[in-house]
Amino acid sequence: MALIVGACGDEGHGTASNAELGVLGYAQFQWRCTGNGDLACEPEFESTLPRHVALGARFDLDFELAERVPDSLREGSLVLASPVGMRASSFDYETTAPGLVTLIALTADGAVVDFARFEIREVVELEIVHDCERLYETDDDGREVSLCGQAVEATQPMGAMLSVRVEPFGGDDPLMGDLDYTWESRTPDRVSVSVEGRGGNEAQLELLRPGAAEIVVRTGSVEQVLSLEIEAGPVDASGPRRTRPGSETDGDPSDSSDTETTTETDAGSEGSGSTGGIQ
Amino acid sequence: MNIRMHIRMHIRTWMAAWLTVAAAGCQEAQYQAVKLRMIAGDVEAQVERGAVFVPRGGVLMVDVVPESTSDSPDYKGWEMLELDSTQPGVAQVRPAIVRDAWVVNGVQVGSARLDVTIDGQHVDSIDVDVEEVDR
Repeated sequence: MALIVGACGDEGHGTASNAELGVLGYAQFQWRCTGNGDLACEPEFESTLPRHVALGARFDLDFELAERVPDSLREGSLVLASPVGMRASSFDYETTAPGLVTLIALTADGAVVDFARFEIREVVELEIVHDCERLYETDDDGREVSLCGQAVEATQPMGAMLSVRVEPFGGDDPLMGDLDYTWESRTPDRVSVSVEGRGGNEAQLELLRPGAAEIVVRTGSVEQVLSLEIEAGPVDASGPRRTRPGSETDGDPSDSSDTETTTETDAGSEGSGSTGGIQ
Repeated sequence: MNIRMHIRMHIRTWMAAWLTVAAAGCQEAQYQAVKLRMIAGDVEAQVERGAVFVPRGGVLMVDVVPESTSDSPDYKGWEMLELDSTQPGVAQVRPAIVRDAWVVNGVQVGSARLDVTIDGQHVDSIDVDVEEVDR
């Protein structure tokens, strides 16, 4: 089971700069997002090669040989250490079973240059958080702040537009790879949901009327509910922000008390919390 | 002993000594085993004398050092060292770009053997166990 390197270009909604040297340091592996449901292509995660991948997720990977590797070895391919746990096609990989997976970078004559390891985990929980295009933005006071990945405050003002995204978790780690999500407003008269593309992990919420509102996001058999209280009066919609480390206006850590999430996991009618597999 | 006979004997002695040295230099090396040293791999991977353990889906990179018999020249490195798996469906082995380094990867749970040959001569066999590892 071998794949020719460089079969996939940049796709998806991220910049996909997740590149990292392999275990031996002879090749640099590059993660590629294959759709718009991959957390790895969000600004907070794109600086490192993912290690934990969601079961049922899709991604692409290629590699470049490090400078010190002789030119005569430059052509190469990727092979899976084990076909169990991952399916490879000519344009992407798809995880099919939990466990350890290793991708081995080979030279044209079959010698091992380097390898990268991944752990595939079931999605057991989803979190809905603030989305962003850039990790840090400048606020009105000139501070570099970020809402990326921060919990969405329960109380929001009517008329606000919220950019949110969903993050899949398995154990304590966020899981990477492209998954298909469905978004739904349980109170469409109070909040509308619009998703760019099909199955994406990002959504725009428009808060239309005062009152309690709920948004649900699902992947496989796991779902998460975001409960909001939409108020008619003026409310500070900025929510919790983190400032860039080293900034002279670093936030007070005690402010994090405001970041309590208002989402709750609905593990389905069985209440087991298990995904039952995302195929 | 005339001078001619003396020169002839001297040449014979010199040639005998030269042939002895040349023969020793060309003596075919005899290997009794190979020693494995783990270079990299999964934390669960292990190398023991004559056996290796690799998790399914994991890898183990080893340095392979042939050990010659006591009366044989040492391994020089220009010999043709090869490792072959008896069960590629269980464990695969490939050379690495680093000299005398080999990478074993666990494909399926089970047992296999790596046959080591040097210049076509079987030198050693290494047992490989591939097991599922819970993390």
